[in-house]
Amino acid sequence: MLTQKVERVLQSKKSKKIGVIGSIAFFLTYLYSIDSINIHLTSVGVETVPNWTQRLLDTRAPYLWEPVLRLDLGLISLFLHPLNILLALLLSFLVFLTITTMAYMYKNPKTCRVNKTGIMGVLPASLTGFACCAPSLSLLLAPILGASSTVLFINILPFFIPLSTFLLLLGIYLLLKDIEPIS
Amino acid sequence: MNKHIPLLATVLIASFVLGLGLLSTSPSQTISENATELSQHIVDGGPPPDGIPPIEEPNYAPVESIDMEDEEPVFIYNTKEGTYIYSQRILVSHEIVNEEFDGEKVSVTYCPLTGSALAYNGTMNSVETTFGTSGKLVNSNLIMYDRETDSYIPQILGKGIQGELQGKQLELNPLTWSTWGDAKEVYPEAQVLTEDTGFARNYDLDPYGDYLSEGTYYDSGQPFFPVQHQDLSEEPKEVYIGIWGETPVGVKKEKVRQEKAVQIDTDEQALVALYDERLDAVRVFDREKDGETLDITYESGEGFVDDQGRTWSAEGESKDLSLDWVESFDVFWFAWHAFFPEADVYR
Repeated sequence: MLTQKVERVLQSKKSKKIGVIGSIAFFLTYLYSIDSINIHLTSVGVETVPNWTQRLLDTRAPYLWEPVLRLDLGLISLFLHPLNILLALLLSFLVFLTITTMAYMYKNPKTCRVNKTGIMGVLPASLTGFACCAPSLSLLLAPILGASSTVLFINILPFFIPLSTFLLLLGIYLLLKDIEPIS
Repeated sequence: MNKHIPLLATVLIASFVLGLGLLSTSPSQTISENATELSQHIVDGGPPPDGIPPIEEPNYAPVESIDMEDEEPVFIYNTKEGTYIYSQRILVSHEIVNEEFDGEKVSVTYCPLTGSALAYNGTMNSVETTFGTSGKLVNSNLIMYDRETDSYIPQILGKGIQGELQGKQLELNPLTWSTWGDAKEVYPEAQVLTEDTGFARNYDLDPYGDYLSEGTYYDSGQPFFPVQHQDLSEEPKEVYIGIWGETPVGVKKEKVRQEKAVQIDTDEQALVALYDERLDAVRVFDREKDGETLDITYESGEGFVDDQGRTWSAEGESKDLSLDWVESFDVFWFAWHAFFPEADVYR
């Protein structure tokens, strides 16, 4: 039944377009927040780090892997690791489903039951955005939070990604629940 | 939906409780430098061990091939083989460079949170070792770990606080904090650390602040992490010269900058801090020489002069004499005071 509802949502081209735009924005924001993107004048080239195959499991933080490839594209440099890209794509896909479903519900209120779960749909996407920027965000918030709160924040960081993933999935489920299946 | 709520709520609450379980305990209020008590103030800085990866195979290039802003901070290390310059912009992403000079292991270390750069001899207890970043902090300062024994060593303290090397002191080598513009003029033949570090990193980004702008972490605000002791009579990010010596002493760098020579006298030692105008750097020396205590002052037009009429360079050298360097380094006030709350202060 859920897959039927997803199919119904994805039949809406306008909703999908909004979802694609939102997920691309999220994908780029996520990569930028983990320092995978640097916008600056540079040359064009590709470079892997030495012994890159042996360093594929090196991490910088929970759910953040040490880049093994540098890609210079003239105006932008990319610092990449396949697992960072994979995680970004996974989260972006969930954001795509969330935004697409919300757009569908907004445009088709008659096909949906009372949309009391709209806020629940927004919340996980917002939280994921928060989680994606967490490594830099902790330093940004430190002057506001104070020294002791920074320690607390650092300690709950490892849970941001799995919690955000869970809440995104929950949000998508709750949104789809309110959509009438294809009759 | 109703039947799912209890399960979902359980999962949420379990996640939150698990997270709470990882919280560090609140720090003790006891004032002490004792290694055991200090180790109780260790907090998680975020990254895993070597998540801030030390540079193990540094590459260098001549001064003329390097493009940096003149005001960018650099750290200068002098060896018999030559002079090596390390930029803050690269070290902020790695914090440690493990090298070998003159046949001896040396680790050039930098902690951005405490504004401290120190070069350690890599031989400890007759064992040659290298250092990694533990991912932990104490008094907001990088805790290094020795790769031979996994012992924890705070960068500012240079003494083991956990593990086999607890209580053992590292040997400090002179490392001069300066700027690129000054360094390349004084050491045009130096070799400079390049961005070919073996890592794919964005060295244009400093996650903590900006030494080329005002109002960022490096010149304002409070520490990001808890410290054992605080003294708000001074700006937290004011730069001090932290002197280990026989007894720790802190000297405000601006004081030395203004007075050029600052004599430091305690029961155990007679020292002098000399200002090197060429590098905007301060070096500390022992004034005891061949059984006598020299009186070294700065005289306009003459430079550094002692009470016997000898002139001295900012490197502590006279015609046929040289003063012994005393272990010292640049450091933020808040960090120095956190580790050495009882130290004498010259400001």
